[in-house]
Amino acid sequence: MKAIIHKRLYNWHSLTGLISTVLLVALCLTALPAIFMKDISQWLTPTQTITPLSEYQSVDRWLEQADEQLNLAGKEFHIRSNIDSQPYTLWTSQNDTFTAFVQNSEGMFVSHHSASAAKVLAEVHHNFLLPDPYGEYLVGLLGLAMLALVFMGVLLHKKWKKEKTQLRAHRSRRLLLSDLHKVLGLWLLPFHIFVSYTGATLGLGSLLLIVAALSAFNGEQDAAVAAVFGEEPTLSMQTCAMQSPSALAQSANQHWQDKYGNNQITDIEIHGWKDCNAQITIASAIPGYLLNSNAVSYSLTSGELINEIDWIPGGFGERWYALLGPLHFGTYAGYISQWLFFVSALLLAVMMVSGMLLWLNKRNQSLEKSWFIKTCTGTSLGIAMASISLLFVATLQNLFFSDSAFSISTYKLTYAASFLCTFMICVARLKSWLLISRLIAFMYLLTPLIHAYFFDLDQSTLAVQLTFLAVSAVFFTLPSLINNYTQTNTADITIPDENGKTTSDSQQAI
Amino acid sequence: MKAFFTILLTLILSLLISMALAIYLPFDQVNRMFMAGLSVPFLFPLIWVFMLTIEKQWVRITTYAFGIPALSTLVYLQLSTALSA
Repeated sequence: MKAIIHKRLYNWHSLTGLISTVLLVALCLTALPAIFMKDISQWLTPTQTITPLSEYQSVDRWLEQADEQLNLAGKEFHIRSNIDSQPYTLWTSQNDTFTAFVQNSEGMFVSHHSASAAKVLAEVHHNFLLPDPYGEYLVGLLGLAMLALVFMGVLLHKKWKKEKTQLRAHRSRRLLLSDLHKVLGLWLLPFHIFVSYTGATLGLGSLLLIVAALSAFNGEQDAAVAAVFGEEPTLSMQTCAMQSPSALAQSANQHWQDKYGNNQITDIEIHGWKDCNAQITIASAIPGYLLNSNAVSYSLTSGELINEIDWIPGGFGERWYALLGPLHFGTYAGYISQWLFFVSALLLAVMMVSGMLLWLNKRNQSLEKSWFIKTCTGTSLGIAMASISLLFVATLQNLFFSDSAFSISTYKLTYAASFLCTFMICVARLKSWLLISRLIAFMYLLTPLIHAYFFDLDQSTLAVQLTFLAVSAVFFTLPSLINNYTQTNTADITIPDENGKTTSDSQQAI
Repeated sequence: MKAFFTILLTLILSLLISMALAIYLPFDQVNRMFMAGLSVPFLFPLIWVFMLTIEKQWVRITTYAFGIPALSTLVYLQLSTALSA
């Protein structure tokens, strides 16, 4: 590659990184709890206060009681039971705000604090808690920026055979950062491409729909959506008798059983309960296929099959779309893929920070005065602090206010306030990060201890407890590790190579 | 400003290429829609980086100057025919 093109790519790689790195690091760190959303929700659920239901056959009686207490007539809501033998969660939606309910041991429907808190953790990664669709667009644009950074990085580093295992830890800081950036970039390349592409597509979905509708449905977006997902029911505002949702769930189960032999219901969505045009959509995961859940829709008044979404025999485009979710969320191989995604997201954040440190090093900027170091430290510690504060509040609510109703906005406010406080303190006074780090470590230690003292532990909640304790240990040791590292001699040294020529580490790092 | 226009033109070019690919390849209506929508986030950064690797400025300008009108015409012709049929 000619020097002029190399320089142009290098400049654009630096500029794009400079603009997007802090937000991309935030995106990576917010992905960590989002990957284990279901487990965190389960960990937070005090099982002794909730009636467990194992089969969808019992959903009729449960829904009848929910309707009596919450007046569900004419509303849109979801019923979910993601893990066998776990209780159902009822998600109601109003003005794009979701509220989760569960039934306690006395038969009362109460706010499901843990589900709502876990949803906020996932939503931060989805839109940074900014109003939709702008939050989603920002996340989508960050995905595009990351994909561009990946393509430029691939073109810039052509000596990948030599660099793939080269990690010169005992030379200089600059050389170590450079090697780390290249090694992580190379080994995690497929993960970077999948995650950034799927993230960009999911984030910019509503904008991409315009292009999609233009190319096939004369620009009519509603027609494009209806062609795949079926028509949205128009409510008649008249009351009718409903078919049994349990029986329809059984029909859906039989439908996929006949076609593919095995399936698991993941979600029941009801539009306009008790309305004459009410509709039920039942989503089912088909094991063995790396695709989104299939779904069938029935009329709740006649029980007639209205629409079927089956991704398996679909064409190239349909399968491509159905792959996005599993590839982005890493749910296709259970805990193995989830842990792989966890580690990869963490390493991706390390790679981005190493790239920016390289840029600062090249410009000989003081780390303590650098805006990047301040904002990046503030963002990272802010996310860690906000996440554990949210879980701490939800744990206390489960203990002392288990029957009280809390809006999901309470959790968003808790998250935003703790993030902003930590961020501003770090930006105003960088040295305070040592104290904040220890405070975070203490919070990650205290929350599982409170949980273990008051609630039962089972296998899955034990894994979450241990993860929190590991995070606590990391934050306790991080200040001393970084202090030791920065105090070591990191001068740029000149070392003769195999041919006896001397090249400085700064030159080698480029 | 120059960078902004380059990115804007690349975006238009990638939108047109994705639509042209979806329209001219033998897909049914639903798959054509998915192809057009899903290829944009991949094509846009790819074409942008590819443009950065072209050394001569006149080659880049010519690509935009001829590529965008030509692809627009191709897409328009096919869509108007399909719509009027």
